[in-house]
Amino acid sequence: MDTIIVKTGTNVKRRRAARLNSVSLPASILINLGLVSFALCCIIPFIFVVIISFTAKASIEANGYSFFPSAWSADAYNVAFQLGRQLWTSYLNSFLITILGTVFSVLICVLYSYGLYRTDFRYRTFFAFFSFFTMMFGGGLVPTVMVCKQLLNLNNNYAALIVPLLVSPFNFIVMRTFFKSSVPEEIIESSSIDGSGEYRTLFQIVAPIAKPGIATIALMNALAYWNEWYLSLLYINDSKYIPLQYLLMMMQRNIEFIVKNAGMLGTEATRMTQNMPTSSLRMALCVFIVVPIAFAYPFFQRYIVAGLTVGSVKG
Amino acid sequence: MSSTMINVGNPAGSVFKRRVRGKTLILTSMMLPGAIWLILLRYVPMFGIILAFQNYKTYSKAPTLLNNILHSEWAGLGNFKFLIQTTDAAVMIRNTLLYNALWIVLTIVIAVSFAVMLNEITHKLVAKTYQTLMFFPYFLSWVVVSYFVFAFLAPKDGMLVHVQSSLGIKPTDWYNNAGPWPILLTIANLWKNIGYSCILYLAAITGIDASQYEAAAIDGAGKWRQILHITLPHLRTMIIILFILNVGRIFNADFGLFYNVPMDSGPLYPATQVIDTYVYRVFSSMHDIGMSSAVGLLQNVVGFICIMIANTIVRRVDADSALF
Amino acid sequence: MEKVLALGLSLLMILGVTGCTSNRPASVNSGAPASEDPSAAPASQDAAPTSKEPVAPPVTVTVLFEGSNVSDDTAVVEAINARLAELNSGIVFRPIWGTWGDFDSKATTALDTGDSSIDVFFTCSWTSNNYVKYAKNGLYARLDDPENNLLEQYGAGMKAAVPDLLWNGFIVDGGSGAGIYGVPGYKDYAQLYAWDVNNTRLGELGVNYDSIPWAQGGQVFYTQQFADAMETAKKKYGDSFYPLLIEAEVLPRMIAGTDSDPTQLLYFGYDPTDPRKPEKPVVTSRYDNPEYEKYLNKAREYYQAGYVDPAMSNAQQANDARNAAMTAGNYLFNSQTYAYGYDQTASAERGIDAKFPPIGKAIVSTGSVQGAGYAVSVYSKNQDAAVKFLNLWYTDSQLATLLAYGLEGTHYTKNSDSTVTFDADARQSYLPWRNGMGNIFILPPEDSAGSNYWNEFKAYNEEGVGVALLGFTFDTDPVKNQVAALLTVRDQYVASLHTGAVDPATVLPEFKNKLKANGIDDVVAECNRQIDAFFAQ
Repeated sequence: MDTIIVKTGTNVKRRRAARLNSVSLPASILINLGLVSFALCCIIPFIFVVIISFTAKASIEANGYSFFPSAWSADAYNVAFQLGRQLWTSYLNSFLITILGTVFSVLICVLYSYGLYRTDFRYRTFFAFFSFFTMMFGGGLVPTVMVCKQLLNLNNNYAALIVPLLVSPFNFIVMRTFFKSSVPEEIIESSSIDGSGEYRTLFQIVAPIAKPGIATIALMNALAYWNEWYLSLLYINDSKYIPLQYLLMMMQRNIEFIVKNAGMLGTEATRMTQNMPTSSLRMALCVFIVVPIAFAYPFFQRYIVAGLTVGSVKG
Repeated sequence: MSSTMINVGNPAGSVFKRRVRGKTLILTSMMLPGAIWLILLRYVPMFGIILAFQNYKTYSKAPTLLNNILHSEWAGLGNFKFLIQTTDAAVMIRNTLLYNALWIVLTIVIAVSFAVMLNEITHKLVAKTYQTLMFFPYFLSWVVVSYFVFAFLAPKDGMLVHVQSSLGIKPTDWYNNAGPWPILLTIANLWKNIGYSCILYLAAITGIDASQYEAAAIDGAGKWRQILHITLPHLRTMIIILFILNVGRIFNADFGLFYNVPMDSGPLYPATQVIDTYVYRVFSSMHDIGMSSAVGLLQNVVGFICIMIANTIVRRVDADSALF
Repeated sequence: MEKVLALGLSLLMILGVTGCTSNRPASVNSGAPASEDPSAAPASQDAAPTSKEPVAPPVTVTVLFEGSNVSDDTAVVEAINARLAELNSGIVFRPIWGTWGDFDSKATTALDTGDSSIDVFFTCSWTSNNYVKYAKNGLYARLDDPENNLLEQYGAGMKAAVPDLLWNGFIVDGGSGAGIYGVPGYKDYAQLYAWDVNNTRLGELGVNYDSIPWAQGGQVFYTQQFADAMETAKKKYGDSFYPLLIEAEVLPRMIAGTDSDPTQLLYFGYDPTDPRKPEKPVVTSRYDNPEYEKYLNKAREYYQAGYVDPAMSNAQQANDARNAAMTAGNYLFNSQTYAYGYDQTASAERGIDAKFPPIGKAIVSTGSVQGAGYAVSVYSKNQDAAVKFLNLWYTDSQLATLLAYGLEGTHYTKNSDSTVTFDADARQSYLPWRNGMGNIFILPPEDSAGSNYWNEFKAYNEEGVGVALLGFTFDTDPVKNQVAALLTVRDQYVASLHTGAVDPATVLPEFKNKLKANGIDDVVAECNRQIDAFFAQ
């Protein structure tokens, strides 16, 4: 309990040992102090942005951004809701892309890194280098987009927002390390002798042990998908596919472009900028983006926590 | 499970061989989805390396990729010139390398310390809360983070600016003053990424057999010695691997951090210009395929060399931790 | 057993992955709003034989627009396609509504990667898919190709509708020889800068509009009356009022010399009172111009006096700040790139009396002539249909109005004097950028502009004075390494210098040194060499 905070399988014996092995009180206070202050730093800026998004315009003009605004208002959200259908479509897209992308990418990652982990796999080194090489060499953006669009038809569809992020050699390596550090090879040997097939061994024996690793990778991938906007810029032409993150990014880019090209655009464009979202609307949109992950994370965390049982081998 | 451990005898040769071959086949099948993806989305586009050495133009009579490449002039190393010719070259290379080096070290030190500290928290709910909060920034994209930063530093409305002026100090013009930005960027980077590394290390720590600590405690080893002799050695593989991977990317900077967080403000370039942002800026103003391919290639080659060196060193020191 | 499972699983995975690409689009797009078949553009030829129509199946023409703000186009696109069918065009139109923020990336990646699913691209002198550059790189189809003169075959109507001045401005030495590679947008091609003066506030301050010597054009900036007005305003309205709105990219150009060079590094030295002079300009660095330094010093003075909002120096915030001030009328002096009739519109929109004293004469340059246009991609499989579509769009008022304004009764109503009044709410969901709408002279004018608007507008265009370098475009290719470096140097300094946020006494020399070190002299020399060649022709 003490040494392994997130452990679920507790028993009396271990608890006793834990008590015997705990840190001294002053040290504990110091540790908690350090962690509390860092943890607070992590969350405060977000709270601040939430406050700002609810701050009335008059208050901002008078006192600037403040933790204690003199007047509250939901104006920014009213404007955000005027985006109407697009807001919800994008929200839905973000969820869809994140869920599908995470499931597929984790599956691929687990399969591939399992092979890399198996020391008795003949082509292990080949496949390790095969994936690793791509971390170091690539064709660049334009050729990749060329292949994706023309060969794979990743053009203006959901697949275009999912497929390009499916594989990360970095995650292969991290996952392999997880396997290596948490799954003893004897388990593989013994289950092989038991007559268990490779896939069964992986999914019924190895995967449960490596759950913390898998959950971590899943979380990373989910994040990558949730925060992605560049793929939409490259592959999507139809607003019904675009995710939420892209909406925010476009508001920003629209403004940047107009400011930089003001001299060329003429008054017609100036008139259009008057309809563009102000920074408080953009802050409201930030809140829209952050809230789902903030709520989804505890779920993931429970998963990670539940998975962090190392009992399987020694049980 | 361990009860089923039996000594593996020597099965008859042919059966054994068939079994090995079957196993290889099945394991290979597991690699296929990933391998096919790598071929299609990484290996096939590598023809793009050619473009780095060309003045790539479209052959309008019959515009296909092959024709375009065949009819484009060769540029030699001409496309690489822009990187070296600029007086910003030194600035951006210095920034990229120094920030990365500093952050690799800081991240390891701080993340491992936090992981060890978290591991000592006895109260489960408290530990979970810390973890949740620390990990939170990692979820945010840099665009979102840039608004967080903006809330504090904005001219006129920013909180810090207001605090300064209410204290009677002349407010800092944060987005026009490069001085404080190396520190601000470091804070932003650590703030966002520590949680992630910390969780990775924590997951590795929880993988350590608890009986080792129990045994050490019974032998009279204090907390410090347990950390030094059990925890850290166990983390070594993870530390080394993350280290190598990061060293391999030492010429790549986190674009969003350097571009979005300073709001692309010009006067901050001396502190925020890194290779990635420079390339982006050049590419968005010039739109030259040759130049962008060239710089991508260069970054990859340098990264490759770095990672090979790091890996070789690791292999010398500790063969098990090497990547390949 | 195990092997079967293994094979099955890996197959499943592969199908799962590639299946996403091949199956999903079909099912998703079947419910696509943009009528007939939007996604089939790349595959339209494969799909052709399956059609049961006796006549040739309609060809989809996909157009990528710039600067749009369109969230719901279903009904409009349907109406456009109905009109296209009525005209027997055999064309199905499919728009892609690029926005300011994503157009550059979308257009360049589509062109650079040879994407055949977009047939027609907006193009001009200031987007990344720069007309001259992309024509030179062979990415736009030559429309007057002697072997296949698309313009003659399908574009006679638009050739006549758009003035020759613009067609001539679109002649470029492109991938298939010197010729026309795009259709010019017919809009305001004479460029004029103007002050944007809040006369209501001036009245409140007791400053007589005529007491400021507007006839001096850009030089007004340096006059005592100009500064005095701002000082009075600051005194009266307090600290948070910023009388001077500086648009970093516009004001210095307006005051220290107008030019049309897309790199924004060069100074052509046109005479503001008669832009036809000099007859053979000699280019210098824009930042060596003494007028430029003079401007910076004055801007710094105003900034330090608190006349300029500090937010103006940052691209992310400048727009917010400027718009807020402009729409609320919280300013005294502002700059505008003037389009004919904007004073009335602006006054109405802001609820103030806005005056727009012009600076110098309206000039016509390569940059302003190439201010908008449409080009057909060489990768397009339907180049004929694309030109046909452009021709209809440039000549058929009904079609053009549908595309630019939306549906009558929904997005706008027609008035008795043939002007239109927009429904502000409906217009929010369908707002293309009007200056990018091809031939805007066949659209009905807005009510605030008056029914005679286009005639007045044409007269205004014709008043524009052509500069000596009209038709010349600086080809930066020979000095692209220098330009690449110089543009980042420029980005580093200009926003803060131009708004006065930093001290020019220290920063300008640093800026100039850096420009020199990065080869501004090479660029100037190359440009002068090309100008010599241009005049030698």
